[in-house]
Amino acid sequence: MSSPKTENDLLTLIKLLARLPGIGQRSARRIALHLLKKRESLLLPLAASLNTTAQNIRNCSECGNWDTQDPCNICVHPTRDKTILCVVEDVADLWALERSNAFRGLYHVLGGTLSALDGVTPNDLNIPKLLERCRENGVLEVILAMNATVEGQTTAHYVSQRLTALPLKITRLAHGVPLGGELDFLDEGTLTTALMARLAL
Amino acid sequence: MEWSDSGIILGHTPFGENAYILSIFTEQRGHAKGLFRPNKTTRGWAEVGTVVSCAWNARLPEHLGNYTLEEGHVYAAALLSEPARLHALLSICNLLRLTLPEHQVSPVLYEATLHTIQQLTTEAWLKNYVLWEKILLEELGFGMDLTACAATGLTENLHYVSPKTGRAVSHSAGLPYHEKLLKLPAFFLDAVTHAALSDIRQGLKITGYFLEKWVLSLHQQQMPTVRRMMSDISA
Repeated sequence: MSSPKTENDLLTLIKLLARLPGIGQRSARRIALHLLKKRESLLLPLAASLNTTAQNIRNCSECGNWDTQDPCNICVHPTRDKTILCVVEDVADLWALERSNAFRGLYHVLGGTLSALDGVTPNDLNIPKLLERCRENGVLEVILAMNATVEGQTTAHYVSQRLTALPLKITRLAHGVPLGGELDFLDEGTLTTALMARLAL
Repeated sequence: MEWSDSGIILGHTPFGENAYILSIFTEQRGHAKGLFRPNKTTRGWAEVGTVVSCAWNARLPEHLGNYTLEEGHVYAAALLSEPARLHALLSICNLLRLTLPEHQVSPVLYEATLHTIQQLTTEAWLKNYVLWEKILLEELGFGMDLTACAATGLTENLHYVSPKTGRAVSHSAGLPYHEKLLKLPAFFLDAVTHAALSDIRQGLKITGYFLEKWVLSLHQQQMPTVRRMMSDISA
């Protein structure tokens, strides 16, 4: 029979697991049981990995990415183009762009978008550091890779307004038809933006 | 309980991982909230400022309820590359969401909001926007009294607005207090009048002042950043 302490430890684990995204109480119980069954092959390595992550992963003071070193691997990479800076809302967006393997410049994580309702003002975004990097690191182009939402684009316009005084090119991601998208199935908004951003052939 | 209506999406707050609490300014039910679970298709157009047909259902009227949406017109799509107009759209939605009490039906404000959003792609968008803020103040019960001079009762030559009372003041009565009074743009008295950029800027100053003083302070809210940015862009 299990002691109250064991029960408490297990309950704590289940409660913590249930706080992870996409996991409810039932899944948390299943995961906890699975971990206990695979103590050597899963539970202990996972615990060690969590501990290492908590100890070593930190925010890059340059771009805002998560890494074991500061500045991060991307910022110190010798073959990256340091004259192009891609501004993203969140680290998840940075990772998405990295997965595409299509961009070989540096990044800058803003940390959100302007939102009156959530109380996010320009002071809450990582804009001063962006201006400092643009001024001091010889940046020639800033790509504003914000989400194609009203708030994302409002933030992009705000950042672009702050950057206008600097001698650099400001660009943004294209909006329009996704790869493999069939016009018949696209929504009206996507079609409107695609038509407005049409290119000459 | 169920109802269907058409409305303007004012914004959404994330709820859990895959849902939003959606704020919609509906035509017949006023500002109404509900849970909305977007899918791949709806995520693209359920944006701030989109006009939709919505159906709301819940067991009891006081419950949060669930929204089902049908695609309407995505006004934001045409404005994504137009900073000032995009700010105006977001400002309209933010101000309504911050100030409009839930379930307060206001056909006049709904019509004015729809018209202003539809006109954001036209030349007169900024003047329309300022007039919309004036209507918002009126519909919230804080309208300015511009019918006659507060000091003399004259109905002509109205030149100023008192920042204390929101009442009009004539040129002769207001001249000694010129510095303290707000200059009244002509298009506030007659919406058809042509408005120069300086008049529009003055209009933005007046409506902004009263929105902050009378409405937002009541809700302990600050003026949305986009609304502040609008004054800079129009300058």
